[in-house]
Amino acid sequence: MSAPNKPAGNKAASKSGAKKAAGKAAKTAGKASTVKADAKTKEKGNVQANVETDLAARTVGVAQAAPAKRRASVKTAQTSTPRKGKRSAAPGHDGQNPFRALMRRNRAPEPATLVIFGATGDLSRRKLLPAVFGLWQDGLLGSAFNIVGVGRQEMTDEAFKDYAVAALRESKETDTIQPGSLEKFRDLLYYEYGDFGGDEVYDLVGKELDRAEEAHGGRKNALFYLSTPPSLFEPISNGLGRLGLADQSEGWRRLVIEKPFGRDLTSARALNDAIHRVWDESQVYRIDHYLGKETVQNLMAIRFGNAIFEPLWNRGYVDHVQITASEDLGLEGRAGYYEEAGVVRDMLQNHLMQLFALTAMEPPAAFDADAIRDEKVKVLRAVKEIPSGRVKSVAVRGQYGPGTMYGEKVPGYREEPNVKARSVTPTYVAVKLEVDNWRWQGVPFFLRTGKRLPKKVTEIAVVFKRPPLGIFPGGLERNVLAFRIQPDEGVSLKFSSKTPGQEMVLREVVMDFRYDAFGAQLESPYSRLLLDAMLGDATLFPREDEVDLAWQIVSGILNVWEAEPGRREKGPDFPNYPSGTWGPDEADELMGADRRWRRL
Amino acid sequence: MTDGTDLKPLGPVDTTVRKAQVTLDELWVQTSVETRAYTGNIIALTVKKHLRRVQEALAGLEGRYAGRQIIGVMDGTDDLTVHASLVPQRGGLYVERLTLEASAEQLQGAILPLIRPATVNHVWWGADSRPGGTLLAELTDLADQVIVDSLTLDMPPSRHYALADLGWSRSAPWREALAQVFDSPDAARQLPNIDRLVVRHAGKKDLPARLYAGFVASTLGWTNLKNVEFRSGRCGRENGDLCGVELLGDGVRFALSASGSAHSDVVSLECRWDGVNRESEVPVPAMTLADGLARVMARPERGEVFEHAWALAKETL
Repeated sequence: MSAPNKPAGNKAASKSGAKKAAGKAAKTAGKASTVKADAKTKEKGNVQANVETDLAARTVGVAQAAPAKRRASVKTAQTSTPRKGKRSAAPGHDGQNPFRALMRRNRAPEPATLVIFGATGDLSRRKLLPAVFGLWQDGLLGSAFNIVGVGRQEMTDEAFKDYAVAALRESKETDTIQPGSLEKFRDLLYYEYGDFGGDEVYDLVGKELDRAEEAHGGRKNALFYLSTPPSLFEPISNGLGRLGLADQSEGWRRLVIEKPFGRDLTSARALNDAIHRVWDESQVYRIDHYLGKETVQNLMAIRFGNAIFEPLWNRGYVDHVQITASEDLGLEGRAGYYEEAGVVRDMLQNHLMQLFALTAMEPPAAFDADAIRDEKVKVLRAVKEIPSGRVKSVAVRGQYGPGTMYGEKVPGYREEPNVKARSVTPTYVAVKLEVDNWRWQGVPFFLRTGKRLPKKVTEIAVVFKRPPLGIFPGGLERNVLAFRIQPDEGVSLKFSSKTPGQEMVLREVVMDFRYDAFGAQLESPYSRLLLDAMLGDATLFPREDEVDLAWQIVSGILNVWEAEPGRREKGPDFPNYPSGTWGPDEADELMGADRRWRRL
Repeated sequence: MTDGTDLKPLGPVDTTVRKAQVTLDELWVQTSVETRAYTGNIIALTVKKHLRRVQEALAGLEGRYAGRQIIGVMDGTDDLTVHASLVPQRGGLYVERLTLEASAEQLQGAILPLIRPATVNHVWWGADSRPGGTLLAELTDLADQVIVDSLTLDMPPSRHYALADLGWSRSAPWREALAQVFDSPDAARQLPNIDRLVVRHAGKKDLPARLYAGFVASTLGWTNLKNVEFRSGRCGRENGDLCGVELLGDGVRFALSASGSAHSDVVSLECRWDGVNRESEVPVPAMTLADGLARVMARPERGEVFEHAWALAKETL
């Protein structure tokens, strides 16, 4: 077990560099700049925006939201000297922080403990610990914060501290480490271990929360992050419940779950039921790291922060939408997981469905968790069902064979280590979604994702209809508004322009906005999502009903493609696309006449 | 900021107001950079003795705040000189810089045509003299934000533009640190017991400390700064930066104290009341001039918070 005498004082110190902090402060301040665009910012607008932020903060239940009548109290501050005998009305009497309400960063997490189950796992080492360290180094986690790693592996606090520090030094995701910072961060780390099926380990976690409360006061707030194999979600959730650690009477308690949220509709519902026996839905944060990407959030910013796009965002102007998430990598040693999951569970049901929902949803009433998730649910519900009989006409699967990538030969899927020689696991899927609502009737959404495609690129392309009449020589091209999620993050608009010369000849040109013009590094999606979970802001986390609907949409596909061998329809002969190509030819046919996948 | 770039500046190249854009375009050609950040203009008005400091501060400013920097040196002669250069940024980017030297009257006609249109305009008064004259009047008409040392220059907040104060901006980490102290509800509940404030500052420059005290006082609902004590001292920080703050009352003490080390961005925190005794540390990074500029340019502070602090601070001068 871990060392019995742990330091009581929580030296949550940071030595983040001033330049870094200023840059980060600017980044968190909203990135108000624009490129090649008018970005006039007026004071009046800022005050209004701040009022709105306050309201949004209150709506999402931020730990230290603005006191309700703070503004009035500021304006009448001229009427009193230091208040004696006015305690009941004085700022702070209600436990609300009057300073926080006036801060640029008017959302800050209360003192809390981050409990990472599976703390010595791959995800924790590569992503979580660097993300937490970055937040802490930037001063975003407050003065009273610590981390408890939990695992099945026997390890002392000291060994875990060494492990975490080594992980931070090795990970490419770690921010520049400021002098002395790592040593201070090390002091925040503790470790407990035990059998996740028993009670002892949860009892130890409970004691860690007691110790944290004693050290830095406040309440026993805790964020439980399940960075474990899915088979452990339910035992850990139950264990936390048995020991009363989901109870919020002594502080907020939240549960973060990594995908996959089930392996099909039935198991997803069973998992949700199991989780909800212990936790209220408002305590559950399902992580889809795509939603933490800045450029995915920028999709909402572009759509709902500008007046010029929304009038065109419908069946009157849009011909179709293409969403692509291509990977150049193969299995990278993850055969055990991938053979079970396949591309539909790995990418389509979660990441691509989220991108689809954000693209197709109606404008939300507010930028808050319920408003946005309500709209996503509505559009997912409007997707035309894909029963077994429709699968063949709307979905294409593929599996990569040997080929060349970047000039080097690479093996096919079936030649990857630990993959069955006759595996029928798909590594590519393209699907056509139709949305039965007024906005999108007749506008197909084409989604494709796969491994060993020519390059790594994620993009959402809104392809507009051709002009109704061609009055110039040559053909008419479609305008395309493309959101590049990664890499070369940005937005481009393709349109036709006259070429120089005496003739009226048009050609396509691209107006391009690149996110790197801001000159700022993009934040890790995990850091954004972790901070939001600490703040209690669930806007960027899929809700139970979203996950359920996404499973409903892909269930028909899974049923047909994974039917028992005797009942299975004959599928394509795998492999059906060479590594380094854009997938099987059938995917091109899926688009129909007069359309083609974008050349990326 | 510009740390981490291996690129060299391009220029300065002598040019004229009329040819400035062409000169910049020629410099751009040499960079082979496709991405240009047309994010805004910052017009820094200064005098020769402060020019170097202004240039250094602007060199540390990323292109996302202003893709074009126009420095107007106001104590030149009627013979206008214009120099164009590209200043490298992290990530292989550059920002444009035009440095003009002339009399204030000459500058007026020279600066206005050089402002890149349809973007955000920041005007920074980087001189000791009180702002005024036609030049500033013209520029504030175009400005989205005017950045000055507002207490020294006695320039009250205005409704025509967003007024930003670098002293106020650079004390932001201290405000954030104080807010963190009271993120714990039990600590916040002690605030009604606070009736005294001590603000310690480095060196003789106490104006940022006065603005800070004004912020604390107005937040607590105080009408004046009579119960505030200012103490000058040494804590390894720049002249004018804060060294610490204490909020005191009967049986209650909250204190943030810089360590005294020139290289420490961490300050100690002590909280005491009713048998509670907490000690911890919080990051309060010292901000350079460029950091302060970047902060106000990224998003102006809430006007009313600054105005209340300014009004209380001004009364003490």
